[in-house]
Amino acid sequence: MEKKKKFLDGHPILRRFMRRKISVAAAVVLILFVLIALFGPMVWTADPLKQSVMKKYGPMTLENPLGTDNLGRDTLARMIHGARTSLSISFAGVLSGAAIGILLGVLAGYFGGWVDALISRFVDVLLAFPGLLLAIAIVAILGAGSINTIIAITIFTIPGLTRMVRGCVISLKSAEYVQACYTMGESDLRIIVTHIIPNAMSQIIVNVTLSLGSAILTASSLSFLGLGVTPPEAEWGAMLSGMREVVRTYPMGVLIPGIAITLVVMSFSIVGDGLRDALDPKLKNN
Amino acid sequence: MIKYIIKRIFQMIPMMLVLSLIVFLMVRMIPGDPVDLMLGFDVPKDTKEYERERLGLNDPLPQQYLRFVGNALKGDLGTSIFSGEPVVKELAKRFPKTLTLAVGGTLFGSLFGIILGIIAAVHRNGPADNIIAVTSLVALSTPSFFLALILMLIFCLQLRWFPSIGMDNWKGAVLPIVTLGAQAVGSIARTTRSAMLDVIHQDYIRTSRARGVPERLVIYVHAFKNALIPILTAIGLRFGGLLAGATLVETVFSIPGIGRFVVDSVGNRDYPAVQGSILVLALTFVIVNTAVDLLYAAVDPRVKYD
Repeated sequence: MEKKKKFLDGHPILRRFMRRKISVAAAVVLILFVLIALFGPMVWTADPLKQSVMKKYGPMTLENPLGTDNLGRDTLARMIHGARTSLSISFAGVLSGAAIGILLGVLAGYFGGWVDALISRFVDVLLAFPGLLLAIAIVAILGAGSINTIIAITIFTIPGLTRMVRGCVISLKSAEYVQACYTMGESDLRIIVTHIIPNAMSQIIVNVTLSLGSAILTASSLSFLGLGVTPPEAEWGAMLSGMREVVRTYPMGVLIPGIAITLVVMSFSIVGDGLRDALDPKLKNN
Repeated sequence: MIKYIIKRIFQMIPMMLVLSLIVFLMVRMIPGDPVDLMLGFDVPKDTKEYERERLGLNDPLPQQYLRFVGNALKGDLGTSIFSGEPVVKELAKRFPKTLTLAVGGTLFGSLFGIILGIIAAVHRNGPADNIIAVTSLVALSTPSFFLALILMLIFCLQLRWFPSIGMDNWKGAVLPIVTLGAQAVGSIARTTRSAMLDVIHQDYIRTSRARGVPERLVIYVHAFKNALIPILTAIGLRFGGLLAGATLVETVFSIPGIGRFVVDSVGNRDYPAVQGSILVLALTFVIVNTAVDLLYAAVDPRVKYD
Protein backbone atom coordinates (compact mmCIF):
# COMPACT_ATOMS: atom_id res chain seq x y z
CA MET A 1 0.00 0.00 0.00
CA GLU A 2 2.75 2.37 1.03
CA LYS A 3 4.68 1.50 -2.05
CA LYS A 4 1.68 2.24 -4.21
CA LYS A 5 1.14 5.57 -2.50
CA LYS A 6 4.76 6.44 -3.07
CA PHE A 7 4.41 5.55 -6.73
CA LEU A 8 1.38 7.79 -7.16
CA ASP A 9 2.98 10.66 -5.28
CA GLY A 10 6.13 10.28 -7.23
CA HIS A 11 4.57 9.90 -10.67
CA PRO A 12 5.49 13.05 -12.55
CA ILE A 13 2.23 13.22 -14.54
CA LEU A 14 0.05 12.86 -11.47
CA ARG A 15 2.21 15.29 -9.53
CA ARG A 16 1.92 17.88 -12.26
CA PHE A 17 -1.84 17.30 -12.46
CA MET A 18 -2.24 17.62 -8.69
CA ARG A 19 -0.31 20.88 -8.66
CA ARG A 20 -3.23 22.63 -10.34
CA LYS A 21 -5.83 22.81 -7.61
CA ILE A 22 -8.74 23.57 -9.93
CA SER A 23 -8.07 20.43 -12.00
CA VAL A 24 -8.14 18.35 -8.82
CA ALA A 25 -11.43 19.97 -7.76
CA ALA A 26 -12.94 19.29 -11.21
CA ALA A 27 -11.70 15.70 -11.13
CA VAL A 28 -13.34 15.24 -7.72
CA VAL A 29 -16.63 16.63 -9.09
CA LEU A 30 -16.48 14.18 -12.00
CA ILE A 31 -15.65 11.22 -9.80
CA LEU A 32 -18.56 12.22 -7.55
CA PHE A 33 -20.98 12.30 -10.47
CA VAL A 34 -19.71 8.93 -11.74
CA LEU A 35 -20.17 7.45 -8.25
CA ILE A 36 -23.68 8.93 -8.06
CA ALA A 37 -24.49 7.42 -11.45
CA LEU A 38 -23.10 4.03 -10.45
CA PHE A 39 -24.30 3.67 -6.87
CA GLY A 40 -26.88 6.44 -6.44
CA PRO A 41 -29.89 4.26 -7.35
CA MET A 42 -28.84 1.77 -4.64
CA VAL A 43 -28.66 4.48 -1.98
CA TRP A 44 -31.66 6.58 -3.03
CA THR A 45 -34.18 3.94 -3.98
CA ALA A 46 -37.15 6.18 -4.91
CA ASP A 47 -38.65 5.29 -8.30
CA PRO A 48 -37.77 7.99 -10.88
CA LEU A 49 -40.83 7.09 -12.97
CA LYS A 50 -43.45 6.95 -10.23
CA GLN A 51 -45.98 9.70 -10.81
CA SER A 52 -48.23 11.30 -8.24
CA VAL A 53 -50.80 13.96 -9.13
CA MET A 54 -51.01 15.00 -5.48
CA LYS A 55 -47.30 15.84 -5.32
CA LYS A 56 -46.93 18.00 -8.47
CA TYR A 57 -44.24 20.71 -8.13
CA GLY A 58 -43.62 19.66 -4.55
CA PRO A 59 -41.22 21.61 -2.31
CA MET A 60 -37.95 20.27 -0.94
CA THR A 61 -38.76 17.90 1.90
CA LEU A 62 -37.02 15.01 3.58
CA GLU A 63 -39.01 12.63 1.42
CA ASN A 64 -38.17 14.56 -1.77
CA PRO A 65 -34.93 16.45 -1.06
CA LEU A 66 -34.95 18.18 -4.48
CA GLY A 67 -38.74 18.49 -4.74
CA THR A 68 -40.92 16.88 -7.38
CA ASP A 69 -41.57 17.64 -11.06
CA ASN A 70 -44.65 18.39 -13.16
CA LEU A 71 -45.84 14.80 -12.84
CA GLY A 72 -45.06 14.51 -9.14
CA ARG A 73 -41.94 12.39 -9.72
CA ASP A 74 -39.05 12.64 -7.27
CA THR A 75 -36.47 15.05 -8.73
CA LEU A 76 -33.52 13.57 -6.81
CA ALA A 77 -34.26 10.09 -8.12
CA ARG A 78 -34.60 11.51 -11.65
CA MET A 79 -31.34 13.43 -11.31
CA ILE A 80 -29.52 10.28 -10.17
CA HIS A 81 -30.95 8.18 -12.98
CA GLY A 82 -30.39 11.12 -15.34
CA ALA A 83 -26.70 11.14 -14.37
CA ARG A 84 -26.59 7.47 -15.26
CA THR A 85 -28.25 8.06 -18.65
CA SER A 86 -26.32 11.22 -19.56
CA LEU A 87 -22.92 9.90 -18.52
CA SER A 88 -23.34 6.42 -19.98
CA ILE A 89 -24.56 7.81 -23.32
CA SER A 90 -21.63 10.21 -23.47
CA PHE A 91 -19.04 7.63 -22.42
CA ALA A 92 -20.38 5.01 -24.82
CA GLY A 93 -20.61 7.50 -27.71
CA VAL A 94 -17.22 9.10 -27.17
CA LEU A 95 -15.36 5.83 -26.55
CA SER A 96 -16.74 4.17 -29.67
CA GLY A 97 -16.16 7.37 -31.65
CA ALA A 98 -12.62 7.52 -30.30
CA ALA A 99 -11.94 3.90 -31.21
CA ILE A 100 -13.06 4.49 -34.80
CA GLY A 101 -11.34 7.89 -34.92
CA ILE A 102 -8.03 6.45 -33.70
CA LEU A 103 -8.21 3.62 -36.21
CA LEU A 104 -8.99 5.96 -39.11
CA GLY A 105 -6.41 8.52 -37.96
CA VAL A 106 -3.67 5.88 -37.71
CA LEU A 107 -4.57 4.42 -41.10
CA ALA A 108 -4.63 7.85 -42.76
CA GLY A 109 -1.47 9.13 -41.11
CA TYR A 110 0.57 5.94 -41.35
CA PHE A 111 -0.27 4.75 -44.83
CA GLY A 112 -0.85 8.10 -46.55
CA GLY A 113 -1.68 8.05 -50.26
CA TRP A 114 -5.18 7.12 -51.32
CA VAL A 115 -6.09 5.78 -47.85
CA ASP A 116 -5.30 9.18 -46.38
CA ALA A 117 -7.13 11.01 -49.18
CA LEU A 118 -10.23 8.86 -48.74
CA ILE A 119 -10.34 9.15 -44.95
CA SER A 120 -9.53 12.86 -44.96
CA ARG A 121 -12.32 13.61 -47.43
CA PHE A 122 -14.73 11.58 -45.29
CA VAL A 123 -13.72 13.67 -42.28
CA ASP A 124 -14.07 16.90 -44.27
CA VAL A 125 -17.61 15.93 -45.18
CA LEU A 126 -18.54 15.19 -41.57
CA LEU A 127 -17.07 18.52 -40.51
CA ALA A 128 -19.05 20.34 -43.19
CA PHE A 129 -22.19 19.81 -41.12
CA PRO A 130 -21.97 22.51 -38.50
CA GLY A 131 -22.15 21.55 -34.81
CA LEU A 132 -25.37 20.04 -33.67
CA LEU A 133 -26.71 19.71 -37.22
CA LEU A 134 -24.76 16.49 -37.84
CA ALA A 135 -26.28 14.93 -34.73
CA ILE A 136 -29.76 16.11 -35.76
CA ALA A 137 -29.26 14.69 -39.26
CA ILE A 138 -28.23 11.31 -37.83
CA VAL A 139 -31.19 11.21 -35.49
CA ALA A 140 -33.42 12.22 -38.42
CA ILE A 141 -32.31 9.03 -40.18
CA LEU A 142 -32.25 6.68 -37.20
CA GLY A 143 -35.02 8.11 -35.04
CA ALA A 144 -34.90 9.24 -31.41
CA GLY A 145 -33.81 7.01 -28.50
CA SER A 146 -30.79 6.29 -26.30
CA ILE A 147 -28.98 3.95 -28.71
CA ASN A 148 -29.41 6.33 -31.62
CA THR A 149 -28.15 9.21 -29.48
CA ILE A 150 -25.04 7.13 -28.77
CA ILE A 151 -24.59 6.51 -32.50
CA ALA A 152 -25.02 10.23 -33.19
CA ILE A 153 -22.35 11.06 -30.60
CA THR A 154 -20.06 8.36 -32.00
CA ILE A 155 -20.23 9.88 -35.47
CA PHE A 156 -19.97 13.36 -33.97
CA THR A 157 -16.71 12.38 -32.21
CA ILE A 158 -15.03 10.64 -35.16
CA PRO A 159 -13.84 13.63 -37.27
CA GLY A 160 -12.04 15.51 -34.46
CA LEU A 161 -10.22 12.42 -33.20
CA THR A 162 -9.32 11.25 -36.70
CA ARG A 163 -7.78 14.61 -37.59
CA MET A 164 -5.86 14.85 -34.35
CA VAL A 165 -4.50 11.28 -34.49
CA ARG A 166 -3.62 11.63 -38.17
CA GLY A 167 -1.56 14.74 -37.43
CA CYS A 168 0.14 13.00 -34.51
CA VAL A 169 0.98 9.90 -36.54
CA ILE A 170 2.39 11.91 -39.44
CA SER A 171 4.77 13.72 -37.10
CA LEU A 172 5.67 10.53 -35.17
CA LYS A 173 6.33 8.62 -38.38
CA SER A 174 9.30 10.78 -39.24
CA ALA A 175 10.78 10.47 -35.73
CA GLU A 176 14.15 8.80 -35.69
CA TYR A 177 13.18 5.92 -33.41
CA VAL A 178 10.32 5.00 -35.73
CA GLN A 179 12.59 5.24 -38.74
CA ALA A 180 15.00 2.95 -36.90
CA CYS A 181 12.21 0.37 -36.49
CA TYR A 182 11.61 0.43 -40.24
CA THR A 183 15.27 -0.20 -40.86
CA MET A 184 15.24 -3.12 -38.45
CA GLY A 185 12.39 -4.60 -40.46
CA GLU A 186 9.65 -4.42 -37.82
CA SER A 187 6.15 -4.98 -39.15
CA ASP A 188 3.77 -2.02 -39.65
CA LEU A 189 1.37 -3.41 -37.07
CA ARG A 190 4.11 -3.71 -34.47
CA ILE A 191 5.37 -0.21 -35.13
CA ILE A 192 1.83 1.18 -34.84
CA VAL A 193 0.96 -0.72 -31.67
CA THR A 194 4.23 -0.41 -29.78
CA HIS A 195 5.55 2.96 -30.92
CA ILE A 196 2.98 5.16 -32.63
CA ILE A 197 -0.13 4.71 -30.47
CA PRO A 198 1.62 4.87 -27.07
CA ASN A 199 3.33 8.10 -28.11
CA ALA A 200 0.10 9.64 -29.35
CA MET A 201 -1.74 8.50 -26.23
CA SER A 202 -1.37 11.68 -24.19
CA GLN A 203 -3.00 13.77 -26.90
CA ILE A 204 -5.70 11.13 -27.35
CA ILE A 205 -6.53 11.16 -23.62
CA VAL A 206 -6.81 14.95 -23.58
CA ASN A 207 -8.96 14.97 -26.69
CA VAL A 208 -11.27 12.23 -25.38
CA THR A 209 -11.72 14.07 -22.07
CA LEU A 210 -12.64 17.28 -23.85
CA SER A 211 -14.95 15.35 -26.21
CA LEU A 212 -16.81 13.92 -23.21
CA GLY A 213 -17.83 17.45 -22.23
CA SER A 214 -19.16 18.25 -25.69
CA ALA A 215 -20.88 14.86 -25.82
CA ILE A 216 -22.84 15.70 -22.65
CA LEU A 217 -23.84 19.00 -24.26
CA THR A 218 -24.86 17.30 -27.52
CA ALA A 219 -26.81 14.53 -25.82
CA SER A 220 -28.67 16.92 -23.55
CA SER A 221 -29.36 19.28 -26.47
CA LEU A 222 -30.83 16.44 -28.51
CA SER A 223 -32.98 15.34 -25.59
CA PHE A 224 -34.04 18.94 -24.97
CA LEU A 225 -35.23 19.10 -28.58
CA GLY A 226 -37.12 15.85 -28.12
CA LEU A 227 -34.77 14.02 -30.51
CA GLY A 228 -32.60 12.20 -27.97
CA VAL A 229 -33.61 10.13 -24.99
CA THR A 230 -37.35 9.69 -25.07
CA PRO A 231 -39.70 10.25 -22.10
CA PRO A 232 -40.36 9.00 -19.50
CA GLU A 233 -36.69 7.95 -19.20
CA ALA A 234 -34.77 10.37 -16.99
CA GLU A 235 -32.13 12.43 -18.79
CA TRP A 236 -30.93 15.90 -17.75
CA GLY A 237 -31.71 17.65 -21.06
CA ALA A 238 -35.12 16.02 -21.28
CA MET A 239 -35.85 16.92 -17.63
CA LEU A 240 -35.04 20.54 -18.35
CA SER A 241 -37.21 20.49 -21.44
CA GLY A 242 -40.13 19.05 -19.50
CA MET A 243 -39.99 21.84 -16.95
CA ARG A 244 -39.36 24.83 -19.21
CA GLU A 245 -43.04 25.72 -19.51
CA VAL A 246 -43.17 26.35 -15.76
CA VAL A 247 -39.81 28.09 -15.44
CA ARG A 248 -41.47 31.11 -13.86
CA THR A 249 -43.48 29.35 -11.17
CA TYR A 250 -41.07 26.50 -10.53
CA PRO A 251 -37.55 27.56 -11.55
CA MET A 252 -35.93 24.74 -9.56
CA GLY A 253 -37.13 22.27 -12.18
CA VAL A 254 -34.90 23.98 -14.74
CA LEU A 255 -32.08 25.06 -12.44
CA ILE A 256 -31.21 21.66 -10.99
CA PRO A 257 -30.59 19.76 -14.25
CA GLY A 258 -29.15 22.88 -15.92
CA ILE A 259 -26.55 23.38 -13.20
CA ALA A 260 -25.69 19.67 -13.24
CA ILE A 261 -25.04 19.72 -17.00
CA THR A 262 -22.97 22.92 -16.74
CA LEU A 263 -20.95 21.56 -13.82
CA VAL A 264 -20.12 18.27 -15.54
CA VAL A 265 -19.26 19.91 -18.88
CA MET A 266 -17.08 22.47 -17.10
CA SER A 267 -15.32 19.78 -15.07
CA PHE A 268 -14.51 17.74 -18.19
CA SER A 269 -13.10 20.87 -19.76
CA ILE A 270 -10.94 21.74 -16.73
CA VAL A 271 -9.72 18.15 -16.31
CA GLY A 272 -8.93 18.03 -20.04
CA ASP A 273 -6.87 21.21 -19.81
CA GLY A 274 -5.19 19.95 -16.64
CA LEU A 275 -4.30 16.67 -18.31
CA ARG A 276 -2.89 18.50 -21.30
CA ASP A 277 -0.59 20.52 -19.04
CA ALA A 278 0.36 17.44 -17.02
CA LEU A 279 0.97 15.16 -19.99
CA ASP A 280 2.77 17.69 -22.11
CA PRO A 281 4.88 19.90 -19.84
CA LYS A 282 6.67 21.41 -22.83
CA LEU A 283 3.42 22.98 -23.95
CA LYS A 284 2.97 24.67 -20.59
CA ASN A 285 6.51 26.00 -20.45
CA ASN A 286 6.11 27.58 -23.86
CA MET B 1 -6.59 38.55 -55.73
CA ILE B 2 -9.47 38.03 -58.18
CA LYS B 3 -7.79 34.84 -59.40
CA TYR B 4 -7.61 33.63 -55.80
CA ILE B 5 -11.28 34.44 -55.18
CA ILE B 6 -12.33 32.55 -58.32
CA LYS B 7 -10.14 29.59 -57.33
CA ARG B 8 -11.69 29.39 -53.86
CA ILE B 9 -15.22 29.67 -55.23
CA PHE B 10 -14.56 26.81 -57.64
CA GLN B 11 -13.13 24.73 -54.80
CA MET B 12 -16.51 25.06 -53.09
CA ILE B 13 -18.31 23.16 -55.86
CA PRO B 14 -17.08 19.60 -55.11
CA MET B 15 -17.91 20.06 -51.41
CA MET B 16 -21.40 21.26 -52.28
CA LEU B 17 -21.90 18.26 -54.58
CA VAL B 18 -20.80 15.83 -51.86
CA LEU B 19 -23.05 17.53 -49.33
CA SER B 20 -26.00 17.33 -51.69
CA LEU B 21 -25.22 13.64 -52.30
CA ILE B 22 -25.22 12.92 -48.59
CA VAL B 23 -28.42 14.82 -47.97
CA PHE B 24 -29.96 13.00 -50.95
CA LEU B 25 -28.83 9.60 -49.65
CA MET B 26 -29.95 10.47 -46.11
CA VAL B 27 -33.59 9.89 -46.88
CA ARG B 28 -32.72 6.72 -48.82
CA MET B 29 -30.87 5.37 -45.79
CA ILE B 30 -33.95 5.55 -43.60
CA PRO B 31 -35.16 1.98 -43.16
CA GLY B 32 -38.41 1.28 -44.97
CA ASP B 33 -40.08 2.52 -48.12
CA PRO B 34 -39.95 6.33 -48.45
CA VAL B 35 -43.51 6.36 -49.78
CA ASP B 36 -44.71 4.39 -46.77
CA LEU B 37 -42.92 6.87 -44.55
CA MET B 38 -44.45 9.80 -46.38
CA LEU B 39 -48.01 8.58 -46.83
CA GLY B 40 -48.38 6.05 -44.03
CA PHE B 41 -49.02 2.34 -44.30
CA ASP B 42 -52.79 2.38 -44.75
CA VAL B 43 -52.76 3.98 -48.20
CA PRO B 44 -53.94 1.89 -51.22
CA LYS B 45 -51.23 0.24 -53.30
CA ASP B 46 -52.18 2.15 -56.46
CA THR B 47 -51.77 5.50 -54.74
CA LYS B 48 -48.38 4.42 -53.46
CA GLU B 49 -47.30 3.26 -56.93
CA TYR B 50 -48.53 6.53 -58.44
CA GLU B 51 -46.64 8.51 -55.81
CA ARG B 52 -43.51 6.43 -56.36
CA GLU B 53 -43.69 7.08 -60.10
CA ARG B 54 -44.44 10.79 -59.55
CA LEU B 55 -41.46 11.22 -57.22
CA GLY B 56 -39.29 9.24 -59.63
CA LEU B 57 -38.43 6.66 -56.98
CA ASN B 58 -38.55 3.87 -59.56
CA ASP B 59 -35.66 5.40 -61.48
CA PRO B 60 -32.06 4.31 -60.86
CA LEU B 61 -30.36 6.16 -57.95
CA PRO B 62 -27.84 8.15 -60.06
CA GLN B 63 -30.67 9.46 -62.19
CA GLN B 64 -32.64 10.38 -59.08
CA TYR B 65 -29.63 12.21 -57.66
CA LEU B 66 -29.05 14.18 -60.85
CA ARG B 67 -32.70 15.19 -60.83
CA PHE B 68 -32.43 16.21 -57.18
CA VAL B 69 -29.42 18.43 -57.93
CA GLY B 70 -31.02 19.80 -61.10
CA ASN B 71 -34.20 20.67 -59.23
CA ALA B 72 -32.26 22.14 -56.31
CA LEU B 73 -30.34 24.38 -58.73
CA LYS B 74 -33.67 25.56 -60.11
CA GLY B 75 -34.77 26.31 -56.56
CA ASP B 76 -37.02 23.28 -56.18
CA LEU B 77 -36.41 21.24 -53.02
CA GLY B 78 -39.68 19.34 -53.18
CA THR B 79 -42.90 19.81 -51.29
CA SER B 80 -43.33 19.64 -47.55
CA ILE B 81 -45.50 16.67 -46.67
CA PHE B 82 -46.74 18.36 -43.54
CA SER B 83 -47.77 21.76 -44.89
CA GLY B 84 -48.13 20.93 -48.60
CA GLU B 85 -46.11 24.05 -49.41
CA PRO B 86 -42.90 24.02 -51.47
CA VAL B 87 -39.95 23.45 -49.12
CA VAL B 88 -38.14 26.44 -50.65
CA LYS B 89 -41.05 28.70 -49.73
CA GLU B 90 -41.01 27.40 -46.14
CA LEU B 91 -37.26 27.91 -45.92
CA ALA B 92 -37.41 31.40 -47.42
CA LYS B 93 -39.83 32.41 -44.67
CA ARG B 94 -37.53 31.07 -41.95
CA PHE B 95 -34.02 31.59 -43.23
CA PRO B 96 -33.81 35.34 -42.46
CA LYS B 97 -34.65 34.66 -38.80
CA THR B 98 -32.00 31.97 -38.37
CA LEU B 99 -29.45 34.04 -40.28
CA THR B 100 -30.19 37.09 -38.10
CA LEU B 101 -29.61 34.96 -35.00
CA ALA B 102 -26.41 33.38 -36.29
CA VAL B 103 -24.95 36.62 -37.68
CA GLY B 104 -26.04 38.61 -34.62
CA GLY B 105 -24.62 35.97 -32.28
CA THR B 106 -21.36 35.89 -34.23
CA LEU B 107 -21.02 39.68 -34.15
CA PHE B 108 -21.85 39.81 -30.45
CA GLY B 109 -19.46 36.95 -29.72
CA SER B 110 -16.69 38.44 -31.86
CA LEU B 111 -16.96 41.93 -30.39
CA PHE B 112 -16.92 40.86 -26.74
CA GLY B 113 -14.69 37.85 -27.33
CA ILE B 114 -11.98 39.92 -29.02
CA ILE B 115 -12.12 42.70 -26.42
CA LEU B 116 -11.97 40.24 -23.51
CA GLY B 117 -9.26 38.18 -25.23
CA ILE B 118 -7.05 41.24 -25.74
CA ILE B 119 -7.56 42.40 -22.15
CA ALA B 120 -6.68 38.90 -20.90
CA ALA B 121 -3.53 38.76 -23.03
CA VAL B 122 -2.36 42.23 -22.02
CA HIS B 123 -2.93 41.48 -18.32
CA ARG B 124 -1.63 37.92 -18.56
CA ASN B 125 -1.93 35.96 -15.29
CA GLY B 126 -3.41 39.01 -13.54
CA PRO B 127 -6.83 39.17 -11.90
CA ALA B 128 -8.49 40.38 -15.13
CA ASP B 129 -7.05 37.39 -17.01
CA ASN B 130 -8.34 34.99 -14.37
CA ILE B 131 -11.82 36.52 -14.31
CA ILE B 132 -12.01 36.38 -18.11
CA ALA B 133 -10.77 32.76 -18.10
CA VAL B 134 -13.51 31.74 -15.66
CA THR B 135 -16.16 33.70 -17.58
CA SER B 136 -15.10 32.04 -20.85
CA LEU B 137 -15.19 28.62 -19.26
CA VAL B 138 -18.66 29.15 -17.81
CA ALA B 139 -19.90 30.55 -21.13
CA LEU B 140 -18.53 27.54 -23.01
CA SER B 141 -19.92 25.00 -20.56
CA THR B 142 -23.44 26.34 -20.12
CA PRO B 143 -25.90 24.69 -22.51
CA SER B 144 -27.48 27.45 -24.61
CA PHE B 145 -31.00 26.19 -23.87
CA PHE B 146 -30.30 26.53 -20.14
CA LEU B 147 -28.81 30.02 -20.52
CA ALA B 148 -31.78 31.00 -22.70
CA LEU B 149 -34.23 29.93 -19.99
CA ILE B 150 -32.28 31.76 -17.26
CA LEU B 151 -32.13 34.97 -19.30
CA MET B 152 -35.80 34.58 -20.15
CA LEU B 153 -36.68 34.11 -16.49
CA ILE B 154 -34.75 37.22 -15.42
CA PHE B 155 -35.25 39.66 -18.28
CA CYS B 156 -38.62 38.62 -19.71
CA LEU B 157 -40.62 37.20 -16.85
CA GLN B 158 -39.25 39.13 -13.85
CA LEU B 159 -38.00 42.47 -15.22
CA ARG B 160 -40.24 42.39 -18.32
CA TRP B 161 -37.65 44.20 -20.44
CA PHE B 162 -37.94 41.92 -23.45
CA PRO B 163 -40.67 39.73 -24.97
CA SER B 164 -40.32 36.05 -24.13
CA ILE B 165 -41.57 34.70 -27.45
CA GLY B 166 -41.05 35.56 -31.09
CA MET B 167 -38.58 37.86 -32.78
CA ASP B 168 -40.79 40.45 -34.47
CA ASN B 169 -38.69 43.50 -33.56
CA TRP B 170 -35.21 44.32 -32.27
CA LYS B 171 -36.32 43.83 -28.68
CA GLY B 172 -37.28 40.25 -29.40
CA ALA B 173 -33.89 39.61 -31.02
CA VAL B 174 -31.74 40.81 -28.10
CA LEU B 175 -31.94 37.82 -25.75
CA PRO B 176 -31.74 35.10 -28.44
CA ILE B 177 -28.67 36.79 -29.93
CA VAL B 178 -27.02 37.25 -26.53
CA THR B 179 -27.72 33.60 -25.65
CA LEU B 180 -26.25 32.34 -28.90
CA GLY B 181 -23.34 34.77 -28.77
CA ALA B 182 -22.38 33.84 -25.19
CA GLN B 183 -20.71 30.57 -26.20
CA ALA B 184 -18.94 32.36 -29.02
CA VAL B 185 -17.64 34.97 -26.54
CA GLY B 186 -16.01 32.14 -24.57
CA SER B 187 -14.24 30.48 -27.48
CA ILE B 188 -13.28 33.67 -29.32
CA ALA B 189 -11.87 35.21 -26.10
CA ARG B 190 -9.71 32.12 -25.56
CA THR B 191 -8.44 32.08 -29.14
CA THR B 192 -7.80 35.83 -29.14
CA ARG B 193 -5.85 35.58 -25.89
CA SER B 194 -3.52 32.85 -27.13
CA ALA B 195 -3.13 34.41 -30.59
CA MET B 196 -2.27 37.76 -29.04
CA LEU B 197 0.20 36.15 -26.62
CA ASP B 198 1.94 34.46 -29.56
CA VAL B 199 2.30 37.77 -31.34
CA ILE B 200 3.14 40.03 -28.38
CA HIS B 201 6.51 38.31 -27.89
CA GLN B 202 7.59 38.71 -31.51
CA ASP B 203 10.57 40.85 -32.43
CA TYR B 204 8.59 43.37 -34.47
CA ILE B 205 6.38 44.18 -31.47
CA ARG B 206 9.47 44.77 -29.34
CA THR B 207 10.84 46.95 -32.12
CA SER B 208 7.62 48.98 -32.21
CA ARG B 209 7.83 49.51 -28.48
CA ALA B 210 11.50 50.44 -28.72
CA ARG B 211 10.64 52.99 -31.38
CA GLY B 212 8.34 54.61 -28.85
CA VAL B 213 5.04 53.70 -30.53
CA PRO B 214 2.26 54.22 -27.92
CA GLU B 215 1.29 50.97 -26.18
CA ARG B 216 -2.33 51.20 -27.33
CA LEU B 217 -1.23 51.43 -30.94
CA VAL B 218 1.18 48.52 -30.47
CA ILE B 219 -1.54 46.27 -29.04
CA TYR B 220 -4.58 47.25 -31.07
CA VAL B 221 -2.93 47.87 -34.43
CA HIS B 222 0.40 46.09 -34.72
CA ALA B 223 -0.23 43.02 -32.58
CA PHE B 224 -3.96 42.56 -33.23
CA LYS B 225 -3.59 42.76 -36.99
CA ASN B 226 -1.06 39.93 -36.90
CA ALA B 227 -3.14 37.80 -34.55
CA LEU B 228 -6.19 38.04 -36.79
CA ILE B 229 -5.86 34.76 -38.74
CA PRO B 230 -6.49 32.34 -35.85
CA ILE B 231 -9.19 34.68 -34.54
CA LEU B 232 -10.93 34.69 -37.92
CA THR B 233 -10.73 30.90 -38.03
CA ALA B 234 -12.37 30.69 -34.62
CA ILE B 235 -15.09 33.12 -35.69
CA GLY B 236 -15.78 31.19 -38.90
CA LEU B 237 -16.04 27.87 -37.07
CA ARG B 238 -18.25 29.43 -34.41
CA PHE B 239 -20.62 30.75 -37.04
CA GLY B 240 -21.39 27.17 -38.06
CA GLY B 241 -21.94 26.21 -34.45
CA LEU B 242 -24.32 29.13 -33.99
CA LEU B 243 -26.18 28.30 -37.19
CA ALA B 244 -26.96 24.85 -35.83
CA GLY B 245 -27.20 26.04 -32.22
CA ALA B 246 -29.94 28.47 -33.28
CA THR B 247 -32.20 25.40 -33.19
CA LEU B 248 -32.09 25.38 -29.39
CA VAL B 249 -32.57 29.11 -28.98
CA GLU B 250 -35.40 29.12 -31.52
CA THR B 251 -37.06 26.39 -29.50
CA VAL B 252 -36.86 28.28 -26.20
CA PHE B 253 -37.94 31.66 -27.59
CA SER B 254 -40.52 30.16 -30.00
CA ILE B 255 -38.87 31.70 -33.06
CA PRO B 256 -39.99 30.15 -36.36
CA GLY B 257 -36.50 29.72 -37.85
CA ILE B 258 -34.95 26.92 -39.91
CA GLY B 259 -33.53 25.17 -36.86
CA ARG B 260 -36.94 24.75 -35.28
CA PHE B 261 -38.29 23.73 -38.70
CA VAL B 262 -35.72 20.90 -38.97
CA VAL B 263 -36.63 19.57 -35.54
CA ASP B 264 -40.38 19.80 -36.19
CA SER B 265 -39.90 18.15 -39.59
CA VAL B 266 -37.89 15.30 -38.05
CA GLY B 267 -40.76 14.82 -35.60
CA ASN B 268 -43.35 14.93 -38.41
CA ARG B 269 -41.27 12.62 -40.62
CA ASP B 270 -41.44 15.34 -43.23
CA TYR B 271 -38.37 14.16 -45.13
CA PRO B 272 -38.32 16.66 -48.03
CA ALA B 273 -38.38 19.43 -45.41
CA VAL B 274 -35.58 17.79 -43.37
CA GLN B 275 -33.53 17.29 -46.53
CA GLY B 276 -34.02 20.87 -47.72
CA SER B 277 -33.27 22.54 -44.42
CA ILE B 278 -30.16 20.48 -43.67
CA LEU B 279 -28.88 21.17 -47.19
CA VAL B 280 -29.46 24.91 -46.83
CA LEU B 281 -27.79 25.09 -43.40
CA ALA B 282 -24.78 23.03 -44.49
CA LEU B 283 -24.36 25.04 -47.71
CA THR B 284 -24.53 28.29 -45.72
CA PHE B 285 -21.71 26.95 -43.55
CA VAL B 286 -19.61 26.05 -46.61
CA ILE B 287 -20.17 29.52 -48.09
CA VAL B 288 -19.23 31.23 -44.82
CA ASN B 289 -16.08 29.12 -44.51
CA THR B 290 -15.08 30.12 -48.04
CA ALA B 291 -15.77 33.75 -47.17
CA VAL B 292 -13.51 33.39 -44.12
CA ASP B 293 -10.79 31.90 -46.34
CA LEU B 294 -11.10 34.90 -48.62
CA LEU B 295 -10.81 37.19 -45.62
CA TYR B 296 -7.51 35.51 -44.71
CA ALA B 297 -6.14 36.67 -48.03
CA ALA B 298 -7.35 40.19 -47.35
CA VAL B 299 -5.79 40.20 -43.87
CA ASP B 300 -2.56 38.42 -44.76
CA PRO B 301 -1.38 38.91 -48.37
CA ARG B 302 0.93 35.87 -48.05
CA VAL B 303 -2.08 33.53 -48.01
CA LYS B 304 -3.00 33.90 -51.65
CA TYR B 305 0.43 32.85 -52.86
CA ASP B 306 0.19 29.46 -51.14
